[in-house]
Amino acid sequence: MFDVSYMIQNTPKILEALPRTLLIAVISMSIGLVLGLLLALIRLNRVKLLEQLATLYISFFRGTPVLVQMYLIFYSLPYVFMYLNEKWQTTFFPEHFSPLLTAIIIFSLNITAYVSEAWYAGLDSVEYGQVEAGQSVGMTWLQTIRHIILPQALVNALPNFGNAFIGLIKGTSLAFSIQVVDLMAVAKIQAGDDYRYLEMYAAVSLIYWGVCFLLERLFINLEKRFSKFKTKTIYV
Amino acid sequence: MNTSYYLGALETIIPKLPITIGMMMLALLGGLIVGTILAIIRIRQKPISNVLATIYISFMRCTPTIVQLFLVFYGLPLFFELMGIDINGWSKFIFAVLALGLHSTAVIAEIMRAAYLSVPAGQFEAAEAVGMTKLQMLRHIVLPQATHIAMPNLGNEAISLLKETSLAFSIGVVDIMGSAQILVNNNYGMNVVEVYVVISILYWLLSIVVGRIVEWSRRRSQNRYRRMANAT
Repeated sequence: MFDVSYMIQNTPKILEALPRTLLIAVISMSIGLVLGLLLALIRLNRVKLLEQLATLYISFFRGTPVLVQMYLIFYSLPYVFMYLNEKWQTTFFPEHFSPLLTAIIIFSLNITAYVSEAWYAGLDSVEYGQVEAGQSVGMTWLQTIRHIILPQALVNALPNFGNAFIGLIKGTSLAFSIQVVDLMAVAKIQAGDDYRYLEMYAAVSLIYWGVCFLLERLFINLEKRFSKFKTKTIYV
Repeated sequence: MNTSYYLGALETIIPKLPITIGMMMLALLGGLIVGTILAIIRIRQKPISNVLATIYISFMRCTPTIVQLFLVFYGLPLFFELMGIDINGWSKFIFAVLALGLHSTAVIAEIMRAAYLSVPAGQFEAAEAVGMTKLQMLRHIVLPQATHIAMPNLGNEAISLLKETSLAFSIGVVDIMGSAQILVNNNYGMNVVEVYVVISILYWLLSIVVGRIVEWSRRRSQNRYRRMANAT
């Protein structure tokens, strides 16, 4: 039957892996924010060829399960290395890429697609009049982006970034399938050792719930703090 | 890498397509029915049921689907055992549908709640003014409009549900992902990339098709609404 004391006893073991899960999520999200912005800018500026490639990339990563992407990339990385080594005499070896690093690469590529959509919608919602207003007071192009466009786009995209990040945290639970020892992997190993599956999965679900709950609070607070940047109509 | 291998892989995987689609459709259907009920519970805000619904929705939205799948797979037999029912003979397909359905219920409840709240208040008043009962109002006035508003989000949920069915093989369901895994294991590590290329393209196409269907039905319901608006 369900053994509550076993669950409480072994929860600290699972919690030890929490930093690893968070590490994967935070690094992937940071990379995704940069690459996603790049893709969004390519699509907004309608750069020929690159725009089509960006759309294809986003469609693929949003249209296929994370697990499939993980296996696909995990198993094709050695071939990519082989190709690179032959072509440019580089010395990449699969051994240099720990499962953790591979997971970060995969989740970065995946989250880039979702973040890019959020960036796109956020940037698209800033009216062109805002850019003109910036230029008319003598701002340079960079200043316009830095002081006018980005703050407004960011505040519009923030809720979607939050959802993407929480989705990413949940997605990292699949990293165990490429041998990363994250929350889920520790729970699985422990569960398998003692045949206490339900207890361990209940424990790990509570941990994910807690993390996600805290993150939701955090994002609500961030939204409140940045709401001053929200586009307001001022009547004069 | 050769073409014949791709075709061979496709030949093994394609017959499992109905299982993937079936899982998705059943979970979506269950989610729509129970999710709408949950949404109404949350809107009515009756003290206890509202709190329970909120906790349920929060849990289901905040934990990974694979964990939920395992919880249902290992937890449900225990739960039924307490009531003296043996469900160990149930097929794994049923467990997968239940887990995915429970998950989509929570997501759809939130979607429907937001949609319900965005139906203009005048619509409720109009229904009351012509003497409709609460149930009639829900059935003829509110739900059709709420469903129309919710359509894009429901479409997203359908696609994410489709992607989540790929996790069902972890409890032993042989869907397209499951048959791909078996194929990989039988090949002793040969042609692994080819199998995953095939399976990813298959999922990609399925997502695109689901997206198209949703977009088509959204347009249809939009046209219907325009006609209704013009008639008045």
